[in-house]
Amino acid sequence: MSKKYIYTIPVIIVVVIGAGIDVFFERDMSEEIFDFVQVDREARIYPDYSMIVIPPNIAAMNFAVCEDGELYCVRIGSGKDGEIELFSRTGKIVIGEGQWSSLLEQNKGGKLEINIFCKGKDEKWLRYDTIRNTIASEDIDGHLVYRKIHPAYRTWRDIGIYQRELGSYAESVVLDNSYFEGGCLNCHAFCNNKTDKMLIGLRSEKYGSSELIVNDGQVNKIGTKFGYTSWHPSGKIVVYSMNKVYQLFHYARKAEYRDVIDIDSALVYYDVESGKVKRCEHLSKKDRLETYPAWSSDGKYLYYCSAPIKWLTSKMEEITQEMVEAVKYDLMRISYDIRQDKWGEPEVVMSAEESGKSSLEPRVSPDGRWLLFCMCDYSCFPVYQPSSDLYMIDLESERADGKFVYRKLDVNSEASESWHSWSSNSRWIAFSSKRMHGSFTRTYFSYVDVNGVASKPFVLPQKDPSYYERCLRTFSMPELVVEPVWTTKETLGKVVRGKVDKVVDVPISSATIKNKVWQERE
Amino acid sequence: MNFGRTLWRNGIKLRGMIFFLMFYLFLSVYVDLRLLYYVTGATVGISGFPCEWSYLFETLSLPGGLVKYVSVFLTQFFMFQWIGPVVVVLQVWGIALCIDRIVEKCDGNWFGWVRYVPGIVILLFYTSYVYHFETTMAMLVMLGLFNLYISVSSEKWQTSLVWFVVLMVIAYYFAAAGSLLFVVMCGIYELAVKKQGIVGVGCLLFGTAVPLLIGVYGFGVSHIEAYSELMPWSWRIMKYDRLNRMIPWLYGMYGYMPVCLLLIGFLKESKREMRSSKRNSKKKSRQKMWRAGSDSSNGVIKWIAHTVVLLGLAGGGAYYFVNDQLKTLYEIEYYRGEGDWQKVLELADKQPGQLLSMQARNQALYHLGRFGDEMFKYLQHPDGLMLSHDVFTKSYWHKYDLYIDLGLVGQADEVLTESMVAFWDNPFILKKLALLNMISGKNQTARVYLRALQKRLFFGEWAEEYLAKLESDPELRGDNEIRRLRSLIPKEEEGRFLAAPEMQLKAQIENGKKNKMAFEYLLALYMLRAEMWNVVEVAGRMEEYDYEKIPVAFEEAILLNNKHNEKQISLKRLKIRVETKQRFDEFVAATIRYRTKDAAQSELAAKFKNTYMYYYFYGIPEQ
Repeated sequence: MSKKYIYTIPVIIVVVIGAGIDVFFERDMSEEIFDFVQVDREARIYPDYSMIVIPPNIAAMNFAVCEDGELYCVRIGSGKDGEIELFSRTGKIVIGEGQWSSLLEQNKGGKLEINIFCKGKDEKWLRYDTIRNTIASEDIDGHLVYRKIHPAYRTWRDIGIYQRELGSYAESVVLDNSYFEGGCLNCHAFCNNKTDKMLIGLRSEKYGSSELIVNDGQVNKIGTKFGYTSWHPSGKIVVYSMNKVYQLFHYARKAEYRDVIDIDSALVYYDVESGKVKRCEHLSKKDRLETYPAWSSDGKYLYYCSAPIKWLTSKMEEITQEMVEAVKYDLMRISYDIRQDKWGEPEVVMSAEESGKSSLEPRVSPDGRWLLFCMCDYSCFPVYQPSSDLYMIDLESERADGKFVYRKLDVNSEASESWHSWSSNSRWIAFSSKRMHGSFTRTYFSYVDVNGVASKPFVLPQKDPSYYERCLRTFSMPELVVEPVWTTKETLGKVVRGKVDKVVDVPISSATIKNKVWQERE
Repeated sequence: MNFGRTLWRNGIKLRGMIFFLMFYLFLSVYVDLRLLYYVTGATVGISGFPCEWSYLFETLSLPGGLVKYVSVFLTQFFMFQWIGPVVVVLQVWGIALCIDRIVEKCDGNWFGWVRYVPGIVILLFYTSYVYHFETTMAMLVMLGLFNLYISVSSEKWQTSLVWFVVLMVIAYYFAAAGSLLFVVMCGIYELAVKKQGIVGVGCLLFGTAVPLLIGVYGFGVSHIEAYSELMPWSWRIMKYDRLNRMIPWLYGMYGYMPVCLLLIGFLKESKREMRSSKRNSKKKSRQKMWRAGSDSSNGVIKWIAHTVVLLGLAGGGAYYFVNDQLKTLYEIEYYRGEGDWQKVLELADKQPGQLLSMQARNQALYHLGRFGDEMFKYLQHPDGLMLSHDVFTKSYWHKYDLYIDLGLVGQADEVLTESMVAFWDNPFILKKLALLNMISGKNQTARVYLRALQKRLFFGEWAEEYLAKLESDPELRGDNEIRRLRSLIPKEEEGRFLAAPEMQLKAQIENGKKNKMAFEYLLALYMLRAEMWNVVEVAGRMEEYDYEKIPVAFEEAILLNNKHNEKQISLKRLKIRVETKQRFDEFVAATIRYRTKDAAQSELAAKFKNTYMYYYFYGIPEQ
């Protein structure tokens, strides 16, 4: 037989088998449902996409029906035309993206109903109560940027900052550590939910610790790593924290064994134009720990967290549990005049003494109305505190009566909620929660209405509804942005591997703050 | 038929069979590839194989994915003592076959011996417990494609270039930067062997550009990855000590085939130039002589000589790289994981002074119920209990079994999670993480590990069993082992930070807890540190545990304390044995007889070396 045919035959066999497999999986399972027995409860679905408010531009929210059955029928609609009907033998419901997006687009502000039918071994159909959701009128920002890492403490392997197009499942790399030979990626920050101004912190044995700054297409490497970072809305200055971190382990705390304290921390600010780092004495007191800066949307106030230092040592063995549990941060703010580069006096927004808790990670909504933050029993790192919950302060009422009144949001769970961010239209929040899988943080969204009421949160949809069940990574620091990161990873990687082109002098002379490599944190 | 000639003609195959058989037996019996798979910390890069379409698509969506996918799959067979070596032998044999064909096609018959070079180098890798399976798989694939190229390339430079382009694209997709070997070989082949300069230069230029064009611009990988993935200079290899230990050999293995091709081309050229009748006649007479030789018993002798040289080189190399110490440490970890404590004890005896062995041995002694009686029959050191020395801060994989045994689930969680990241989702680590989270009652987290394992080849059944258990019995009340380990976990309200092992052990015996292992370890720690004031505090609580008699070493500590310190250890129910008291008195009498400790040492060592008194008197022995 000619050699040509010898090579051709296996190819033909593979094609035929592939076609056969395709035909098998695509075969029509649909059937008419004439009779059914009504079940007086909603079907259990995973992830839980019931009683939520859905962004009209979100990707199809595939889910699995967690009821026993041989065949499943799901009808998704809004009570009008254009209902989607799907059948599945496994309970896994994968919704056509085109159908889904049309349905949402046509029913903005309306409702979304999911009717679930299960056929048992006895060939009888069961119908569950309708799952009712609402489709918001307002879109969510088009992209989400987050860091994906393993839930380790000191070690890392593949770390990357990723961006996900929320209208689809497309995920791409913003920067991962293969571009600088296995170093570590830290915090990322954007200005006004846009990606033209961006900061990424990183550490590398070979290329040093540095901060990448993207400013209107130009990428530079700053010769020091920023901690928690916040862009002034003008894009002209950046406040960042410097933290000396210690990792601790609880002997007995079931929900989370890990813990973190800042032995010392302070805030400084970087002038983007001059490339200088400056200091404000109120933000870097020797007897206080300052961290988590966040600008108000008008740039007139910097919100931050501050706590008294409870120890005079940096030796781990001298720091007791009592000292650590006594660390509770006040939520502060300080006024700032960017034209004169002048800071005002700090004022207390939420005192730890008053609340009895540690207030952390303030984020002001872009419309300036709401201050979202988290509170936990103690500590500076809420993701390791099961007690961490999200709270809100209405800044409009504060402006009216001068009082900061906080309330707990209904989005919370028994697990840690933290790392929240706002969408550009102030209608959506993204945050990290450990409610689903304990040690593994997942990203959740919630709709916030004009009165500041947050709806039931839902997890970031994935194409495979069982994705999170086996995902051994955590989704850290979700940030909503209106556009993709345009700067390519090649460009970012090249700058990382290049020389520092913005050398800075850090004007802090505290004995414990040093410009060294910081420990890695989640 | 002349036996010598027959042997000479078929000798190559026979020699090959002997070589591969010895290779296989060495890997199975001595090296034991299971150690690479089972022992966390033995190497990096060995992970489970997810039997999922998504894993397949994800892996194949990037250059080098096919080689990685196949490598990960085949590595799973390292779990089996007799199957893993088959995989490696097949790989080595495949490389040898490819080389045979290359040499034949290039008329380089004098280079027939080079077929064994990669095999010998790979043998050295495994002897040193260095895992380079993916890189060597990439090499095999490239040699295969090169074979294909030399089959299809023609005298027409256009045809050759077209074929090169097609095969280079395939090569890059299959093996990422490993395809650079293909580029170099094709270039040298065209330039040195076929003397086709245009094609040779074209191969080198185009081939070098492919990673950029396809890798960077096509698949979106980084420049670094495009030109280094699956090659010896990849940062994924250079970053890890466990992988870059034999880097020069890996470079050598990759580089030698291009060098051979160069030599083949050079020799071919030399032969052409030296074509003369005088040489031919000499050559003919040489051939006659050679034939005459092979007709006689010289054929057998030659065959034997060549075989001995080959086996000698391979064996000599293996002998040089053999690392019994390392092997013993890995075996200790392996048997510790299997719970074969007697075996752990035997192995630890091979390295009595090694702290890692010491730690495993102490754990084995405890599990065999002999810790308190026999601990001083072996060398001891305070750091040999829990690897508390700073140098072991990141020795995560050596500690988790002990932490789980002691009920220190927080610490176990820490070291296991760090190990999972450091050692690439090894399924055994995922298994332990699942168990640990079930012990802690963190079922949600346990399910993630279990579902990840459910899809891992050879681990699915175990994971499914536990997923089913969690469904039917979320508290796992039916699992005695989990219940037992759960009973060791401290209560939540007793939370505190514990940095030092001493604090961890202390906390495990306070507030009415009966953690016998923690008790014995804490007492042993204080004894090893000669902190008698602490020994008093702890030993006095012995009767809270279910001892029928006091372990010998603890008896000796009590006697020592009661003789020299005001604060006495007195027990109501448990009594010191007469023979222990007698031995103690003899020891004391012996010490009194001599003026100095040094003078007394030889007599005391002869009679009391395995006692706590000796240890206390002479301190930590030099190691």
